[in-house]
Amino acid sequence: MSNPIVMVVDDEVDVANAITNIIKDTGKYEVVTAYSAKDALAQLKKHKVLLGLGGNKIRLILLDIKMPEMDGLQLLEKIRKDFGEDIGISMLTAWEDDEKWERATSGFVINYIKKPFKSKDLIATLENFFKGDEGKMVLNTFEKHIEKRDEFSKKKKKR
Amino acid sequence: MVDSFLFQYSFSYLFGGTVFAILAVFVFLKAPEESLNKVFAFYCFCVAWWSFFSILMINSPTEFWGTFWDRLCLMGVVLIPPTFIHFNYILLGYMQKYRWFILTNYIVSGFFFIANLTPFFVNHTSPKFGLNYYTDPGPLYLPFVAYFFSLSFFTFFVLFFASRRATGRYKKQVSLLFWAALLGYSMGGNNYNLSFGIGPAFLAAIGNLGVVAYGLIVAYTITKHRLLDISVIISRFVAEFIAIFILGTIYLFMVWLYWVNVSVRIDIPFIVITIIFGILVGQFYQRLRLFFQTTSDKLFLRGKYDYYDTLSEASTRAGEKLSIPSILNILYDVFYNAVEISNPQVFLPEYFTEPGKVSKRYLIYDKETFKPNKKGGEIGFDDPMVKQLIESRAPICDPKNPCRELVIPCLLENRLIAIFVLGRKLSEDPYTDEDINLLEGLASQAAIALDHTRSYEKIKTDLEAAEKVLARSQRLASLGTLIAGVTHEIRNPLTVIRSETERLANQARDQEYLKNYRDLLLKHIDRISGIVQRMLGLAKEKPKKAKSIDLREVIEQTLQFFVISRITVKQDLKPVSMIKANEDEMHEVFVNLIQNAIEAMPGGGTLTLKTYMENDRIVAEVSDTGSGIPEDIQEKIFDPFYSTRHEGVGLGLSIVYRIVREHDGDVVVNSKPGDGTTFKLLF
Repeated sequence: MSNPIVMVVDDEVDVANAITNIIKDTGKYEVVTAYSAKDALAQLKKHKVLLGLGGNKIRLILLDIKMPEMDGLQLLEKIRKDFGEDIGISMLTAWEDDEKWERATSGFVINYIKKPFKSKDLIATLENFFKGDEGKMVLNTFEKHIEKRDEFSKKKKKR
Repeated sequence: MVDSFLFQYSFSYLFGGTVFAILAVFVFLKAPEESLNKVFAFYCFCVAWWSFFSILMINSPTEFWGTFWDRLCLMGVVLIPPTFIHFNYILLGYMQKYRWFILTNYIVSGFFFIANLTPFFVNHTSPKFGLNYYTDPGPLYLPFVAYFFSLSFFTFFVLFFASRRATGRYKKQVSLLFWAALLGYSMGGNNYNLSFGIGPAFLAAIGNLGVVAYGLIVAYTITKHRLLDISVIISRFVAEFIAIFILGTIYLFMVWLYWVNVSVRIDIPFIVITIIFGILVGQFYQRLRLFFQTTSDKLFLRGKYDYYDTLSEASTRAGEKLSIPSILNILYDVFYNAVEISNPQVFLPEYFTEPGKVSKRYLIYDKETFKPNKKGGEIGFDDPMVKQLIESRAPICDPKNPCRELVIPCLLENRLIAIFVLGRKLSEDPYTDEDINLLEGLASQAAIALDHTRSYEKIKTDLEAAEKVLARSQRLASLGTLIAGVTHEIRNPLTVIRSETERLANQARDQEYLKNYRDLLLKHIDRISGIVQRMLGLAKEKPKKAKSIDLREVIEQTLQFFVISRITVKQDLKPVSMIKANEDEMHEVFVNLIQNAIEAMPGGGTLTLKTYMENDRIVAEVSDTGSGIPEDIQEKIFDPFYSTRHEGVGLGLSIVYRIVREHDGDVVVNSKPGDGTTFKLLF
């Protein structure tokens, strides 16, 4: 069985390449790099198995939020609509914005990695994911999402 | 004294007929569209008709003519009952309910009207009570008289009960109508006595005068107050009556003296006519004199009229102004052009020019620059003249002093706000009392207006200060947005540096990798320093300095502060001339415009930035493809605190507007709802 494919999506070429290199260095995964949302969608189409019936060869996407034209959050929503819930998505972002966090975590992402990140955290995410902890990870993140959402609504009420 | 009943009777008819004819025309013209006025005018017309043809009848030479005029005269009489009840019903507001009743009355009258053309109504006429000819009743004449009186009495009852039921002021008015009608009819009705040969005849003549009184009362009621207040009319009648009585007594006394001492022959009608003329003179003299006086004054004293108009108009205008130059402009304009003074001077206290300083003197304000002219002279606060002006609160007039012939204080309470020092008039005429009065009026208006300028200036300065504070907080708010963006910008290069550095350990021997790594590191470190540098530049409060800058650079730099997500940015920056401007402020302009554009497109879109030259002007455009600005609020968007967003303070565009205006530029908005908005800056 070939290695699972991980896709890195970031509009900043250097950032995307750096992430790609870190993953490639492990030797365990194949990496596809996309520099825009359009690119990413094209890659996803290309890697469909049996017209999508057999899922997608791309198993995990590391997704940047801030991108021109279509940003990571829109792309996340589109992927969930067009390619279903099978593909794991990890949000990679420099944002520290409540609203964006809420939107990202509500889309069943496995986690939320803040830039700049430690290589081992990134690798750990990948390993946990492929070990089969995906469900747990999503659940954890989603729980956090619920918790945080409650916090937001409390804050809003206080205002 | 009684010369002839024929004459008296004719005269009473002439008088009554004339009055009613005038009333008919007058009441009708007063409001031709009102049905009340129409009906009453018609009633008056009928009475006048009856009166005039009665004169012809009683004076006719033959029986044929007597009967002819009588029939003609009765055509009016038969219409009196229905019109009488008709206008009373309108007055009382009964028409809606009893229209049919009025109509019936007109039909009955119509019957008598036709009967009048036959011998059954009036067959012939014969001489009676010294009258040449008077009606001999036919068989239908008596029923008509019965109808006339029964309808009249019915109307009195209606009026009487209406007055009983009415309340307050209205009650008085309706009862007046009742009493007036009773008077008029009980007196006027005596005319019928003559046709039945019942005396005494003079009652008929006096009766006609009663009808006149009635007509006048009703006419006055209709035209002046509809149902007037009775006390007003009574007091007026009493006043008129007493005045006429006193003057008439004097007149009659003089006539008596003449009669006794000079001539026995006295002409009664002449006396009556002179008395009537006297009353008319008394009534109209005053009004007529006033009318002609104003007309002739306007004609012969035109210049003076203009002058007074100018002065009073200037007083009003001065009261509306809020800046010292505009008030002084009006004052000097009046002094030079309206009053024509050779050397007018306006002195204002120092505090108008130096608000903070303790004022000690009044400075003369130049008539052209409207600024204090220190060489022109001054008046100390301790000057005896100042003291005198404040204490006396009156102008000082010294005809011997050509420079200070007239000194007028502008006082507000006990403060002397300004002093007008006026020299001679150009004409060398002395100032008249009227001149001084009008100038004093101008002075008091000017005092108020000048005092207002101070509070106005203070409010203006306070407002400007407040606006500055708010503008700064707005700047800080946009800075907050920018900092969030900048942090994001820094984190990306940091990610690259961190990731690549972590990989370094494994790749250390790869020379090519090391070279690439070095370049990458340097590139991203420089990027971070650049961002930090810009941040510092933005955060620092630098003194405002204008220098030559290139708008393209400003736009490019500003754009780097923004984290642009989902939006396509199109730049079409053509070379433009350098502009002399404050760089920070220009940054602020584009930060605000770009931020607005981005916020207008939450779902994505295209942000277009353009620079180009247009007719020697530098143009910068910021366009979005957002929702656009509705036409009705396009005017308001530059107002401070106008915001369509919930979080917005509403200062962004007002700051843009202020800065651009300060750089002698213009802002043009072009927006179509749905198509997006373009802000065009022209320098």
